[in-house]
Amino acid sequence: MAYGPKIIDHYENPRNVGSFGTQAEVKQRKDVGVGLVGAPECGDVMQLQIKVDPATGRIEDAKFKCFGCGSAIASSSLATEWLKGKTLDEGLAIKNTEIVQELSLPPVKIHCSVLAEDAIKAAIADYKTKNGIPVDDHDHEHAHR
Amino acid sequence: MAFDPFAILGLPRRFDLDAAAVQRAYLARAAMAHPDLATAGLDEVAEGSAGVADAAALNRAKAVLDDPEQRADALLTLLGGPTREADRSLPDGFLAQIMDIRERLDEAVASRDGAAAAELEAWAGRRRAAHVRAAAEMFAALPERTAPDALRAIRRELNAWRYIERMLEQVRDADRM
Repeated sequence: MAYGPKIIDHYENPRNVGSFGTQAEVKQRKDVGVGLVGAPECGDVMQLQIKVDPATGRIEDAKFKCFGCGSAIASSSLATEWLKGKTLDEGLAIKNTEIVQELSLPPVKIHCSVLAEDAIKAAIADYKTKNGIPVDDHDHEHAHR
Repeated sequence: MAFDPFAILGLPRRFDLDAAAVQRAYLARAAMAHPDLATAGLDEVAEGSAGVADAAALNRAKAVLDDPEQRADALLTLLGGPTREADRSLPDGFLAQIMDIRERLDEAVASRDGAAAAELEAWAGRRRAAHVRAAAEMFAALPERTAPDALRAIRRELNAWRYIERMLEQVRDADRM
């Protein structure tokens, strides 16, 4: 089967690859939230970092690193694009099904979008924890498959 | 019914299978499954019977049993252990470690540092060997009545192992390009 143009574009030209510093550095930074997740089905690992403007509470920048298949890379690339400019609550509202729809992911690759949603939730939860903001239970819930 | 590669090849459900025994069992059944020889009719080849599975099932069963990680995963599921989807647990700090290693490998490849890349690949190879040993010990230690805790511990071991295999798969694919 053929992949759609959007997924290929994100795979070949991934947006926002990188990080806001080394693991040790970002751990110290209160304005950065880090989400590190893995997919045991395939062994892919994904790290998503958000940089929050403390004045506005909005996500001003987002970066990712993903060691996985093209669909996982495209899903996390899209997630970083969508996160920019959003509030934490708006970020938490991103659903993996929207990523599936946007990229036209085939059924066998839905877990890649789940991984991206989990990474978003983990990064926001990390930011909240660092800044003494209570983390809601649903922040930790797994995305729907 | 769950796919049972051990039953399909008529081998005991155990992790430490001899590769030669898998090959012998496969060849014996493949000969029986051959259309030129399987003249007995389809009745005796019915699924789930003691008859011979079709060639596709035989090939799939052999591929699973030939690969230590897939063999361990199939065995754990057949013993009633949790699936990867049901139990995603990993050893503490494992994801951070694998992320760090993968980043270092990426940097080594980008800067054409062959020695550093080879060292990280060798690390993954050693981890794979350690997982094979650990799985063998854990399966061998299982009591007759398999305790849920022991099965969960094996699941955690196999989950970590998957990330190592994934790293080695991707190193191999990158070499091919």
